Amino acid sequence: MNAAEIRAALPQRHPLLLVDRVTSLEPGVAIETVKAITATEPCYAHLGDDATVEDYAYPASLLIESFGQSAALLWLDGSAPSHRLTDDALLLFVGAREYTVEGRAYPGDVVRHVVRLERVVADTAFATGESWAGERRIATVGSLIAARRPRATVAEPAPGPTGTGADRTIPANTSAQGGRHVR
Amino acid sequence: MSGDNERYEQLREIIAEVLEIETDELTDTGDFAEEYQADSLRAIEILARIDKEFKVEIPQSELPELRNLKATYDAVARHAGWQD
Amino acid sequence: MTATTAAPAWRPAAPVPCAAPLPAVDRLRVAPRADGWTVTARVAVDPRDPNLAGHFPGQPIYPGVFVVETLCQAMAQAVPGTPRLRAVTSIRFLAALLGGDEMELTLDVDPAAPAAGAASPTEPGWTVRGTGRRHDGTVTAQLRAVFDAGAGA
Repeated sequence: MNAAEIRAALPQRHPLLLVDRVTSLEPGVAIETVKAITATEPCYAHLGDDATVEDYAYPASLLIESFGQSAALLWLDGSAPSHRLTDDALLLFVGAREYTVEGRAYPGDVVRHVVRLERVVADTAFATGESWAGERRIATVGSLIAARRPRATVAEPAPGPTGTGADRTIPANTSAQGGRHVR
Repeated sequence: MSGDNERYEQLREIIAEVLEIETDELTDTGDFAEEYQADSLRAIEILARIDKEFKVEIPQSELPELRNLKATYDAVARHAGWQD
Repeated sequence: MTATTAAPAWRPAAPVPCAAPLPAVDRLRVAPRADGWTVTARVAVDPRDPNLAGHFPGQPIYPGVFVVETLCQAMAQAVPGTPRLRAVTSIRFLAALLGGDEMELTLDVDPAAPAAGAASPTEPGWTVRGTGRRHDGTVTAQLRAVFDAGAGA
């Protein structure tokens, strides 16, 4: 899967589309993806001349997001067509357990995510896996939990003037990617 | 019976971990939802953990039966054929 | 749970010194508690933030992982030694944060117990239990995490 195909499958966009390439995919079972990190990432834009190398450690939040998007690509690809995302269904990142940081990634590193789909129960998926920077394992993921839910049960009215936003749909090219992903 | 007891206590540990409570706080008949504020995701997590730890697949149609530790153990034992 | 002691003052968050997708803490309040701290961080979800342009186009939603970002930035600013995330033991997202919402993340920070179930129980560090709430009181996230002791170690 190349960048264009990934873009077609996931609703996230720049600067939060955090998978560059799918290097292997066993539908419904396992996926390996790649995310290259460069010094031009927006997360480094505010660093000053006094920043140390440790200040350039790629943020854990974005690493988890990148892993989660990899898991979403795996789950979506393994779904029967009738279970793909539609305008009526949303994909939510509902939780994670035992995410352990073992190392850091820096500009120049190519992060590789190895993700296995562990179990799907009642439209809730459990993924597990690891993230690597070259030969260094930088994170292990006990489980990452995502849920596909009917839009109506999720789009609760939000307080304030943005409340109507909950009912808006994402402009989408196809119905298969029209599901609102909430993370 | 000691094997059963061991599995029962293992199940207690698994469920307590999912519910994020101490093992000794989880009683045999305490209702997951009412006593421990478990929502539907917790119930699904329990089912997934049972699958992983015991290699026992409980159909999701039986989710509503997994109300407390004892009922959950009975469901696991039934699907695993432990009581025979 | 503000008990009998007077509530400490809010202070504005300092600029983030390390790589980060956004400043994820606006204001911070730190109160000592037993051997640790209670840290409260507030962040407004700015629908014009560039990240939200991609998450999602036309529908800005604060990504769940940015709750982790708020957690890391709050810990680095509030706890001496600039501790860094070692593990997210558990995190659950219960409600969405949309553009215009404000999240208040309350963290109970305690010294890591010597024999806790953590990956490296002998290393010093912190255990954190946190709850994120929207300004209407809705719980948006619950988390448990482990941080190292930091301190340029």
